[in-house]
Amino acid sequence: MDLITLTMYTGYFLLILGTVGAVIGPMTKDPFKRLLNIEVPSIGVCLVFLAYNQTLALMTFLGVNAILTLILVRAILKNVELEE
Amino acid sequence: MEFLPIVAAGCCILGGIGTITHTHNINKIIMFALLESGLIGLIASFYYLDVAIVSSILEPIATLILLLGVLKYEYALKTKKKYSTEVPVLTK
Repeated sequence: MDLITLTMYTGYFLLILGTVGAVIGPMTKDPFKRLLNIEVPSIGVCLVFLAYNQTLALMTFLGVNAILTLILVRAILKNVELEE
Repeated sequence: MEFLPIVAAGCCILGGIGTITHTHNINKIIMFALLESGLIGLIASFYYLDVAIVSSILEPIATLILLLGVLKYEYALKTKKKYSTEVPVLTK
């Protein structure tokens, strides 16, 4: 198994595992735990981009993912504060 | 085949399984940091060193945001129940 096949299989494994874990994972009634499960398939998408040599897409996805994490954490905190 | 991508893929798989199966928030963030380190190792084994620079800068920022967020989230959960407007006798 060469490098590209290994990266592609790891990426698809993380995609499937992270999606199943985000839907029916343990204790996903807590929205923060569901957000942390959602981070796993994003890394899987990064590995699939890497296997197909899409370098610019990989850099853009990494940059957007950090900003998205910031906004989602703020949204979950506001939801908890305003939920009463 | 070299030794770095095998170790990095093992880090990715172990980090993914650990992030899903742990239930405490801090443990999930620690396993997620392991997953990200596996991603950096795989990128470096492709010799895409510019992408490795970008991911090495951005991923600790995401981890730090998650850590500050989880502290504030657990504090908000702990202090939320005291000021409820419902009368506790009538809720049952």
